[in-house]
Amino acid sequence: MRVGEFTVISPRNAMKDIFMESICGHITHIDDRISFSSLDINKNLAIHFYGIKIDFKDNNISWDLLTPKILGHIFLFNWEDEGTLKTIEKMLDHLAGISTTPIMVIANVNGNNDLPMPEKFVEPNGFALEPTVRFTYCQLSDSKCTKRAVSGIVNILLERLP
Amino acid sequence: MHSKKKILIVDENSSYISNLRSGLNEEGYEVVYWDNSLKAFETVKELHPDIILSDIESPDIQGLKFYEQLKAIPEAQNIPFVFLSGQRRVEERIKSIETGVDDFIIKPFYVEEVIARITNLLNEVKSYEESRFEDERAFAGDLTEMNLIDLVEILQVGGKSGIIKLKFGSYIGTVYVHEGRIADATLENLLPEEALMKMFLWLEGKFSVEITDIERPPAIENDTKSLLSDGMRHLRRWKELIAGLPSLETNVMVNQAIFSLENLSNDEKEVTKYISKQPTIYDVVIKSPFDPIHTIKIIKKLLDRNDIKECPPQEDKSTPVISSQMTMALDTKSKKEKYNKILSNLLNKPTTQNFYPDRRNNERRRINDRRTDDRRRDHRTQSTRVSLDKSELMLIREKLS
Repeated sequence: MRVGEFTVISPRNAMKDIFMESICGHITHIDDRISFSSLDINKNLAIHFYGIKIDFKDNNISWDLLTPKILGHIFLFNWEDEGTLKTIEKMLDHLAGISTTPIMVIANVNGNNDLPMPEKFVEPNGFALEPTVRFTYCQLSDSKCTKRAVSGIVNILLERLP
Repeated sequence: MHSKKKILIVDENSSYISNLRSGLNEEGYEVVYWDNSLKAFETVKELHPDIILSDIESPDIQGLKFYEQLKAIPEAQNIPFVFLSGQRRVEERIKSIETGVDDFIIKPFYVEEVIARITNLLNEVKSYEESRFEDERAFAGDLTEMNLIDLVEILQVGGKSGIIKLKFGSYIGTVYVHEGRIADATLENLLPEEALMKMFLWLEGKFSVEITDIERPPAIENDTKSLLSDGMRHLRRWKELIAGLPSLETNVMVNQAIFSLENLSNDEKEVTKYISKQPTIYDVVIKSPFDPIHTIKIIKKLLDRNDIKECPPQEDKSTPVISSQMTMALDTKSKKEKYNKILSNLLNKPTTQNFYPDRRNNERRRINDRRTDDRRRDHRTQSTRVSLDKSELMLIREKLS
């Protein structure tokens, strides 16, 4: 079976788990930081998501070994909690610097918050921050929205291919 | 109606000033006069004058020292300052100009000359303010697309510091954000929170945002999140209320045919005090002692009852709501490009001071950055191989859509 792999990086377990579950419908917890889920595209092709919870000072992930095999990285933070942005910010900058693997940065918005998602920011493939880094808003439990974010990464890859 | 420009004059000798005051009043300026600089300090904070004229030999404080102390007040930093002096010595004039004083006028003076100089200085300030909206180092845009709440949210999420300038009609306001928190807001002579809440309701006009460190003592202590929350709530209500009104730039006047104070409530009487000179609806909102929501409700009632009515614009209001001079470079760019720029500022580079709070750490960061840049060059020259082929990627996209 052929497999396409994505990492889902977030400062909180719940965020990555909700995101992965909304796409795949199930999730397996490997340990207290890593989770896994998969979605069969057909009987010969599947996509795998590796959920990784990171801390502010996390630097013990062997990205140089992992990155070449990954189709894309998905970073999650809470739109209303700037602390979560700060937690992912350093790793985001690092990963964007060491490879051209597409990155989708997702600001999580809750349906009930007082600071609703600015509708005008929503673009199908996210806004390009760099050629390989895009930004979008998502309600993590909304599978339509999360799938669209992953499609955004696939679109970047397709644009690259001849 | 444009608000009158305010001039603060500080001079021991009132005989020199009386003619100047009359001349300035005739030209449409509002003049506040004090014969000592101590009173002037307080007035600057309360009045927010557009220009200050001061005798270089004030009775209680030496002129240059007065100037330096005044410039230490945040509210006075950008106000043009002119010295009036009976001294003709060139050395003194040079010394004054070197300190940053904007002009130096020798007494006795011709009133017309002083008025001309003041007008020139105020025009320079206006040009400067407007050029800020075109500064390429900042980003700018239209409040119809992004309002103040959107802008503050963006700085808040990134923990950024910056100055947000807003223009609506003839009003220019400023919001200072320090590391994602609203630190201060200025608009006319309103209190900071009052100014902020009024600007939250601006749904048209222009904005510019300059990402820069803010060295300003915080004048707003309330939590930014709750301020934004209040702003959102007021904005929703505001939108409902103004939906049934003419444009806020519409001038209104008292309908003398049926107007009677006896029929008005106390609040309505208070608001009508500000309608005597055919202001725009928004002029009334700004000047009213009540909050904008209450004021606009009153205006709506007065209009519905025909106690007040629309009237033709004043002479200086015949220009469009948004002056053509305020057309910004970003207007020509697409909305998408604009947001890219904003978000790039937020996310492309981390807020370095969050990670490296002191100078020594900044140095360490520069070294690390250089190392990282070297690694980037090594890695990024090789494009990442895509492990799936095109048809497989298209299948994934199809499944996800």
